[in-house]
Amino acid sequence: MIPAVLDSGVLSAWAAGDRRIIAGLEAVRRAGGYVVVPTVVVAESTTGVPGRDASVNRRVKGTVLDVCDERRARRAGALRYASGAAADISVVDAVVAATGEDLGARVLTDDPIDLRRLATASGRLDVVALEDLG
Amino acid sequence: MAQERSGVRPTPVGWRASVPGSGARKAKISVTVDEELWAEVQTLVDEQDAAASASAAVEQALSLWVANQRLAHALEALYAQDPASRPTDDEVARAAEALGL
Repeated sequence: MIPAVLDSGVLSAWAAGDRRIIAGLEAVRRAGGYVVVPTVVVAESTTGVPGRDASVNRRVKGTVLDVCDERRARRAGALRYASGAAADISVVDAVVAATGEDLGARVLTDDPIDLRRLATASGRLDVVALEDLG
Repeated sequence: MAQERSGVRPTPVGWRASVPGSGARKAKISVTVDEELWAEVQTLVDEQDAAASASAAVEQALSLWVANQRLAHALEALYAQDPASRPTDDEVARAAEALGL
């Protein structure tokens, strides 16, 4: 049962009805897996305006929300620093990477450059780009 | 196919398991699980090699199952709202390959 961790771009793509991510999530479902969204991704994907957030809110209900504790936050910081590109990589992406690493998950992203830098730093993180799903 | 088993029975609170002979409080209800979930529970119990760990194993397996069902419900709700959004088997197969599933 392999989980999939979503970054903000993929969550937004799902909310917008992107067929590639829907097919990917259907594949995860059929494999008995599940979807994890770090709460920092929710912060990056929502506005607090109910009408604007409605679609994202519906998708989030189908996921497991993951709260970043201190241990994982420190791992995110370590990955970001070890990537050699800390100035370019967002804290949110670093937390997504640390979450994926911790859970042994596939990380789905629409912006694979930074996540792959983090994956290289990790050495044990699988990153799948949205464009590769379909 | 669902089937009922005895021996590992979640209680109403927290899905804690009671294993005969373990001294744990006896459960008042039983649970019906499908073959896949039961296999997952057995694997987890075997890996942890202790009857007392059955509680955690059951809890973990049920959590995984609930998480999968949550995704399933979200996708089915999407398909009900927009039937054209349902991916074809070919699309799902391509995505599964990309994901290494």
